[in-house]
Amino acid sequence: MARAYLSALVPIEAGREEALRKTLADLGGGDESPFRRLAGTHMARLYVLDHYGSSLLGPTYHRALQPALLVLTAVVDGPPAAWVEALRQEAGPAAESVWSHCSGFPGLGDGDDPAFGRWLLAHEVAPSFSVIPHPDTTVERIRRGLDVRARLGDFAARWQGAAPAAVRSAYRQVFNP
Amino acid sequence: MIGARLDQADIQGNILRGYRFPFARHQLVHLPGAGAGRRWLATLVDSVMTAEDWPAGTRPVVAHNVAVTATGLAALGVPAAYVDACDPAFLAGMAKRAGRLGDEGTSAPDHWDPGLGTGAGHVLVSTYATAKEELDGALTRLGRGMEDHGIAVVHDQPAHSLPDQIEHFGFSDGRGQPSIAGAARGPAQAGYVDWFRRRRPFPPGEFLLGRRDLNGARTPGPPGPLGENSTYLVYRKLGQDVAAFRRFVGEQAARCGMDEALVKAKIVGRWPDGTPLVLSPLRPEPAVAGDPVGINDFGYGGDPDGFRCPLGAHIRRTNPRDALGYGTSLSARHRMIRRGMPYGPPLSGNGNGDGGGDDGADRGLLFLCFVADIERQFEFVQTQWCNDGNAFGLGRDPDVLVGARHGSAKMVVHDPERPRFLWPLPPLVTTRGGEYLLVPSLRGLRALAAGRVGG
Repeated sequence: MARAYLSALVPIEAGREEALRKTLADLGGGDESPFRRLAGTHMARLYVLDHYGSSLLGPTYHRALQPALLVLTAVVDGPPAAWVEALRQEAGPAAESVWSHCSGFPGLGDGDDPAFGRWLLAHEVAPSFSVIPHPDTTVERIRRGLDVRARLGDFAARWQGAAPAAVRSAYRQVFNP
Repeated sequence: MIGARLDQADIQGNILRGYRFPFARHQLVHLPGAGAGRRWLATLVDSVMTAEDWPAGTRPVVAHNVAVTATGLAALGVPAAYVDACDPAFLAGMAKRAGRLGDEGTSAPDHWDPGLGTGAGHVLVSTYATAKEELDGALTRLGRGMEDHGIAVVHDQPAHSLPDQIEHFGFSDGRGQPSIAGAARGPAQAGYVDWFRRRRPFPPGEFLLGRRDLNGARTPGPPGPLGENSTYLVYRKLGQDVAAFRRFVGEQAARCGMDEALVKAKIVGRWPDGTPLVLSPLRPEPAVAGDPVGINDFGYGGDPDGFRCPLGAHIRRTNPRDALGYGTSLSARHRMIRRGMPYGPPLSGNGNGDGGGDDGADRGLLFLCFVADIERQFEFVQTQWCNDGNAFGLGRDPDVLVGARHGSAKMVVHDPERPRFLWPLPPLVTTRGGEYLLVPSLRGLRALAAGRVGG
């Protein structure tokens, strides 16, 4: 399955920046994150970009952005359009509360209304740099791999120093019952 | 200007450079009301030690510093709208952030020492002294002032240095400190590595409000005098079970076929004298430990597999330097100025094969750190790097010393021949309480005392 790196930068309506910041702060992370409901999400992040700088030019190089931008960055399995549609369907109230602060927000619409997806993806920019630990596999395979690693690590720690025959027997019981 | 001299007369002492006084007492007090609180604060302001240099031969014998909790700002009559402009974690307080910090079980706030995390503590007065007698004298004078103004102490914590500047587990502490542009560079301070691979001191905004940080932005804070040259203080009392630590080291050394001293060094990432394992993996190196620059002048780029210093060693987690790739750019925004100090008597014995007896005494570390952003700096390090191992490719494995425990927690000691596993990890450190505080600038303190903040 193709991996997609999605970055969408949407202008925030004048005077709505602080309200949007509060909305983002109240969204919650981890299990409370609206992105948690979307299968195939490697990572997703929302933030307000209100200035730009340059590490090359030093910490004092700092310019304000007007209007400020709401940035969505996500790494997802499958095409971005499908993921954005899942966002609309599965996390509609959260999406509405966030993007309604932005200029030109068309609303989420009903049924299969494609307006939101088209509007958001019209603000997409191609990322030039991405950091993701497992770029070549899906979320589902990563979860399975992590589970195997945790079980192997736990097994190795518990059976460290035991006689080979005992380790072999225990391994069969744990991994090939 | 990044390189401009800082206004040291406006910055409280012990932030830019540690006092290294051997005795301290931290008193968290409750104010009876805004008027009395401000009048009492006004009597304190002129005795607060600043960050100004001490001319040769004029080292003071006593120093006071003052910090305020979010409830303390309200108790001093600062309007709520102004208080709300402070750091969200500061506003919530450490107790309300316990879930994310992993302070659960015996570390949960309902087990904390009385007076910590309750909201009743308003102002923390920290008194440092060169000698016990000087400390006692200063506390007597301080106590009289509190009594005169109806101030009640809700938490009273002595602290003191141990011989050779070690903490209770036996390790030299506070060796890796950030250097700050505009401040004199002290021992064992080091900066970050920029895109041109130059070592640079950190911009002050990483630690002081209202100053430019590494992103070039001014560190946000409340408007007015509290918003510049102030900083946030994380005050965290950590109980250390030294007997359990010694038992654990002894058991794991036997189980893994390793020397006890090496097991301890692998857990910490330094030998007890401070020599970094990555510079000397087999034995302490006095020439390195005695070099105030060299002891903090290293990276992990040459040790990607952790064969010298394990990927999950305490100092490699709490300051990964270049271990995460891209120079130090992924770790530089999570630095802290640490000013911790032990409390309680040392446990007798040296812990090397002399049994695991406990004397039942209360001992541990008062972890104090100064940051400009509590969540990005302290909480990030605690939650992402100490409580979890994912950033280092270690799954959910926590830091052996201060990481929150879960069922299958272990530590991997990497080795080219075969890894060793330290397992199971017993609880060694318990959170006994804590507070997030604002350390106002001197101008901020005077404004607070005069009732001129946010009005």
